[in-house]
Amino acid sequence: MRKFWVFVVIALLVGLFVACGGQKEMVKPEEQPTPPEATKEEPTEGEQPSYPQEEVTETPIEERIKLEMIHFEFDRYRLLPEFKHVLEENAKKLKMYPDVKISIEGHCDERGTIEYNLALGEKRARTAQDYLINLGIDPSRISIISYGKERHLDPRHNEEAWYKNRRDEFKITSH
Amino acid sequence: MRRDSIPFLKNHSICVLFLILLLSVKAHAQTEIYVKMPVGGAEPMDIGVTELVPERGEFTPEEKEIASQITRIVRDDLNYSLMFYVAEVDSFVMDVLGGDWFNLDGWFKLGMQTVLTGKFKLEKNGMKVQISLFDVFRDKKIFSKIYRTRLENLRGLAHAISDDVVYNLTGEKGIFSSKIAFVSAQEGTKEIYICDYDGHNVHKVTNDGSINLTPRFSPDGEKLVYTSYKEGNPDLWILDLKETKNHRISSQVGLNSAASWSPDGKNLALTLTRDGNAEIYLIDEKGNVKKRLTHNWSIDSSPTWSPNGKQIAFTSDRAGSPQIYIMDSDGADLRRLTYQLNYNDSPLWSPRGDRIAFVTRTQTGFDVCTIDLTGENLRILTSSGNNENPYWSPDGYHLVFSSDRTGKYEIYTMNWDGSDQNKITKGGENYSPTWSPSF
Repeated sequence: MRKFWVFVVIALLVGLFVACGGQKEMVKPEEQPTPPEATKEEPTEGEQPSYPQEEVTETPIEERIKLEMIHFEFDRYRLLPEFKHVLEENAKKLKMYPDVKISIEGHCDERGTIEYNLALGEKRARTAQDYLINLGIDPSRISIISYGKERHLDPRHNEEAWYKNRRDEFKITSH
Repeated sequence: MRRDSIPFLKNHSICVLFLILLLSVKAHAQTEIYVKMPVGGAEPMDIGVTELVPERGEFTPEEKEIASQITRIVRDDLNYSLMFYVAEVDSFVMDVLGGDWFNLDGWFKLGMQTVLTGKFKLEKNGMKVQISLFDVFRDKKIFSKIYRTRLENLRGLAHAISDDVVYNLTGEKGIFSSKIAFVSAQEGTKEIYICDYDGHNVHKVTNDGSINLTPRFSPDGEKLVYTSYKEGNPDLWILDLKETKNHRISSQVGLNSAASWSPDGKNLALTLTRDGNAEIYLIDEKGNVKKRLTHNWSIDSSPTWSPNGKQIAFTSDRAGSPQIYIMDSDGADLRRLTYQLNYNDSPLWSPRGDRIAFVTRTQTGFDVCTIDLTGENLRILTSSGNNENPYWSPDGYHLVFSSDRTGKYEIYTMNWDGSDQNKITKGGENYSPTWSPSF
């Protein structure tokens, strides 16, 4: 007999719980009629700036400081004379924006092993890093990473593509 | 007087050494050695591999199909091994046997030294195969064994049979249950995959959308070490294949790349750039640096261990272009191995210890070569397209490598002398194969 009453009480409690849960779900859609209306107005993008959305109109930092890439010879990591002025230009821009930190990415063409090219890519990144430091850029602003032959700019298999792919890229990591 | 006694001692110790070797081979093999391993091309042994017969009564069509698939895989395995020549079964052979697969006299007349027979039965949730291997000349059974497995593991069962045949006839482990890991970018990013030695059963083992490179099996085959950009930097990771869990073991500043396990599994040799240049270091399995092995302002990379763990071969461009060098595993006694070709990289020490496979750059691309430890007997094994990243099979008779000879990078295997080059993957963008140990 006692068991029966315990069962009844549990059944009632469960029933109440389910009913409440059900009600909540019923209520939800009624409680949010406003947001859908707001989104309806959105398609006209021009109206968005009324929100304080941090300087959307301002050009991104990458466009204000365009850091040009440099290229290398096959299986070499020395700085070619024709790219010295590129690094000098990059150094000038970095001096104009002292808060900017960069990562130099060293890349290789597709020829040779993955492992060797990882090491070669790092040598290339280090070449540019050393040169920028010599031009007076604080070492703490420059990190390096090698992608070896893992990220090609040009997927073709010819001299032109290989030349493009043997490169250092200068990526802004913070500003 | 003393001088005279030295050669005697030497001879004496050589005799003792020989005896120990002989005993250890016997003890290891537990059986008679039927086939001398074909170093430099000994004659393979003739073997008959019969169709499986029903354990009782007649085969259903389904049983017949499964049984003949197993036979086909075993025949392919044994032919692949280079240790055997599996008899073609044609009408002439059937005539001599009089339709009886167990006719040992018939197999004797056909010139077979050994014959593998078997019975097959479908069971609840799987199948049962009973194999017997006979020495035809001496008319005696060499071994017999019962295998039970689920239907999906048909290939695994066939490979296990082939492994046991090799072990019972040579005293060495077969390679047919071994695996090949490789990198594939088929789904966009470079992930690591594992397949059987013959390219079947491909499955993906990393899935993080970053760049995963240069996998290498641990000596027990239970783990893979690889370089991953998962956390941004090229760090070293270990994947436990049983637990399917991975963890990072080395995240030094710069590269943590080209790792390879020492044969005892306690250390890894790898390339780190933490001191400002690509050098080879030894680390333990927790990633602690134990020793720096190279000291040269050039690229030192791609270490590979000698099978006894006493030496390491690696690539260095210290002479102006990449060449293969050998040093002791503590960094001492450095010597240059390759002089003949002007760009040599990607060394891999044969598990037999006698030669090193590597890649050379030619006029037309890259090719896989082997060379003796003396720097002699250079063989260029490939010729069309780019052929890279060679890795030895655990028995040292085969090589796996990647090639773009069809226009797309695929994984291939070939014999140690360059014969039988076969593609084992499809779909392209497959790189950096590595072979597991035998299981």
